[in-house]
Amino acid sequence: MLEDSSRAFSFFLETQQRLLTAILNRIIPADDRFPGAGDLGVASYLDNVIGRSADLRRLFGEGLGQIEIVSQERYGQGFITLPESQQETVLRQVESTQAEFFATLVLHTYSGYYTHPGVVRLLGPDVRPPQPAGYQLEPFDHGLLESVQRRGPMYRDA
Amino acid sequence: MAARTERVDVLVIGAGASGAAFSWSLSQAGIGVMCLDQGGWLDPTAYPTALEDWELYRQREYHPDPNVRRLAADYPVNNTESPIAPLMYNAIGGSTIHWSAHFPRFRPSDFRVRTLDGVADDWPITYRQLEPFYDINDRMVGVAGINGDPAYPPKSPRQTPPVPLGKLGTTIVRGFEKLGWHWWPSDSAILTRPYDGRDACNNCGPCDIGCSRAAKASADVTYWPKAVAQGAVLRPHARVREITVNTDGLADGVVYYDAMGRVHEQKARVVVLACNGIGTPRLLLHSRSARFPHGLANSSGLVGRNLMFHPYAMVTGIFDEPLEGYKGPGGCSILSQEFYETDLARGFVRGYSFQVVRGFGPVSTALGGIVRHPVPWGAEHRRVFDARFDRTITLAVVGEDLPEPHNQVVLDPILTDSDGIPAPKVIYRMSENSLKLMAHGVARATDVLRAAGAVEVLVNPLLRPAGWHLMGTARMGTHLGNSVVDAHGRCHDVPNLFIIDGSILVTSAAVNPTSTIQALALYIADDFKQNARDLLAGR
Repeated sequence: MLEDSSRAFSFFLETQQRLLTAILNRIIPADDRFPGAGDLGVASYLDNVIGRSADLRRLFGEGLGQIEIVSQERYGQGFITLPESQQETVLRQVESTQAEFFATLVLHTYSGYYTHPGVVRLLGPDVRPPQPAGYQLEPFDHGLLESVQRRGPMYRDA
Repeated sequence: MAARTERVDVLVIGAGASGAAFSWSLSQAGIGVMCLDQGGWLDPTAYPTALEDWELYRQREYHPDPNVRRLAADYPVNNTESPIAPLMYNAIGGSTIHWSAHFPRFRPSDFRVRTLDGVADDWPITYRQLEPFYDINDRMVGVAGINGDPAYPPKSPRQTPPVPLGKLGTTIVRGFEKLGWHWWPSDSAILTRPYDGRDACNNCGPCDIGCSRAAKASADVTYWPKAVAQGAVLRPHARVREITVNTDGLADGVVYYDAMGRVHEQKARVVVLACNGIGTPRLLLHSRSARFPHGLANSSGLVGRNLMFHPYAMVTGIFDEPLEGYKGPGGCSILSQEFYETDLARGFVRGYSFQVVRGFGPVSTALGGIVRHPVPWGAEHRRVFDARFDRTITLAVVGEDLPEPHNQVVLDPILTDSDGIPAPKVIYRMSENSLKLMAHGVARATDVLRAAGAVEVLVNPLLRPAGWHLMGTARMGTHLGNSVVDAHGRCHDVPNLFIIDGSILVTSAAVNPTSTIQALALYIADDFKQNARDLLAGR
C-alpha cells in the first residue's frame, strides 16, 4: 500500500473509520518496535479494497455492525471505549460467528500492513520489492556434492 | 499470413509448453503451422515485481486458481469433487508464464511401471527413445544444473551452472548430509548466466509472479519467437469451441470465438491438441458428432479418464536464525530423490521426491506461507511473525499419482465459460496408496528439517491449490482398447488428429512433467516431419 493515510475515505463513514482503527490495533497490536495496524493507518487501505466490491461492502457493513452489537450486549458500551482485553474478547466472539467476514478482515489487514513502507523497512535492509535490484548469492559450490556422488547410481534402468 | 478461411496445413490448439515446442519443430522444417490460443501475449516489463505491493498481486490477477483470478482468457473449473484444485493459465506461453521452472526429467523406470512394479501401465516408448529430444529441449530452454546426479543416467551438459543455494540451501543440505540421503541441485529452466540472447536471473525470488528479465524459460521467450521467425503463425485470443470432422471421419478444422465473441472457422489438414490435461479432454468431449457421440477420438472411453495430479504435501521447518530465504528462485534449489523408486517394505508402491521451497515475503509469511497456517492475530502476532519471517525452509513432498479410471475430467452440466462452452469438471479422489505414500513423505521430510536444525515443523498434508500438473487424460498406448493415442501421439480413431500435451502421459512419475511433455512434443514432431508428406497429402 502507499504511505498515504491522509487519502480521503471513500466508503467507511467517520464512525466506522474510528471503529476500524480500534479493531486493527487489536488485530496487529503495537509493540516496542512495530506500530499497531490502526495507528499505521491501514484502515484507509481497507477502505480502498472494501469500497471497490459490493460483496465486500455488504460483508463489512454487517461485520462491523456485529462487532458493535456484541460490545453492547456483553459490556454495555461501544467497542472503542472498551479496554483492550475486552475488545479482544468481542473480536474472538465475532470471529467464531462471522467467520467469512473475520477472515477477510485479517487477510486485508495483513496485506495492507506488510506492504506499508513504514513496516517493511523495519523487517531488514534487504526486504524490499524483488526487482529491479534482485539479490546477490554465492555461486553453487560443487564440493558440496562429494558425498552424494560417492553413493553411485541409484536409479533403476529400464 | 493466411487469410482467415484459407486451409492451413497444421493447426495447433494451445500455445503453451507443448504447442510452442511442436510449432517450432515443424516450422523449422518449413511446414505451415498455425497456433490458436484463448490467451494473449504477456509483456515481461509489466510484471509487478518492482512494485511495493508486489505480493498482493497473488491475491488478484496473479492468483494461481482460474476460479479466483477470472481473467478474460480464463475458463472456470468445477473442482468441488476433488481435494486438489487444478491450476492453469491461458496465454502465449500457457502455464509456463507463472511456473516455478522446475525442469527434472522423468527417469527410465517411470516408463516401465507395469513391468517393474506390477501397477499402472508401461509407456509405448522408453527413456532412451526420448533422450535426444530431452537434449534438444534442454538446449532450447536453457537449463541450470550440473551433471553427475546419481539419480539419473548421464545427461548432456547443462547449459548454465546450478541455481545458487544461498544460506537457506546450505542449511537444508546439512540436513540431507546428516541423514546420508540423496540431494542434488535441481535442473531448473532458469538461466544463471546469459544465454541465447536472454539475461541471467538476479535471484529476485518470486518466479511465480513472472520474470521481467526473461531469465526464466517461459515458452513465450524461448520457443515462440523462434517459431514465429521461422514462419509459424500465432493467433491469440482465439478460443476454440470444437474440432470439426468431415464426412470421412477426419478432423478438418476448428470453430473458435474471437475476443469479441464472434464465431470463426479455421480449416486444417491436420489438427494438433496442446491444451493439456484438463483443456484437451474438455475439447474432445465437447466435439461430439454423429460419428463420435461420446466425444471425438473417444471410442476407448478413456478421454478424460486416468486423470493424474501430483499430490503435494508441504512441510515447513521453522529455524532460529535468519536464512535470507527470499533471495533466489523461490521454487528451485534442491531436489531429493531418496525415496523415488519403489520399496515395498515401506507399505506402498512407487515413491516421491522432495523439492526445497525457499522463504516468503512479509505478506505471504503473515498469511501462512505455503502450508497455509496463518500467523495468529492479536497479542501473539508479533512473536509468531518474528519466529517465522525469513526463518522457514519448506520441503514439498511430490507424490507419484497412479492412473485410475475413476479419476477423470468430464463436462460440467451447468457451468460454462464466458462464451458458453461447458466448463470442465474434475472428479478425483486420493488412492490408499497415495495416502500411505504421502504420510511417509511427510514423516521423512520432517526428519530432514529436524536434522537441519528446525525448531518447529508445520505440516499441510495435502495442499489444495496444488493442481499444477495435469496428466493422463488422453493416454498413449499400443492399441485402441487401452489408449487414446499411439506411440506417436496420433489418435487411434482419427488419423489426422494428434495430441502432444500432458494428457498423453501414461504414468506421472514423482517429478514435474514439463520437461517430459516438451520432449514428447518434439519426439512427436520429429516423427510427424518424417511422415509429413503422407499426413498432409490429399486433404
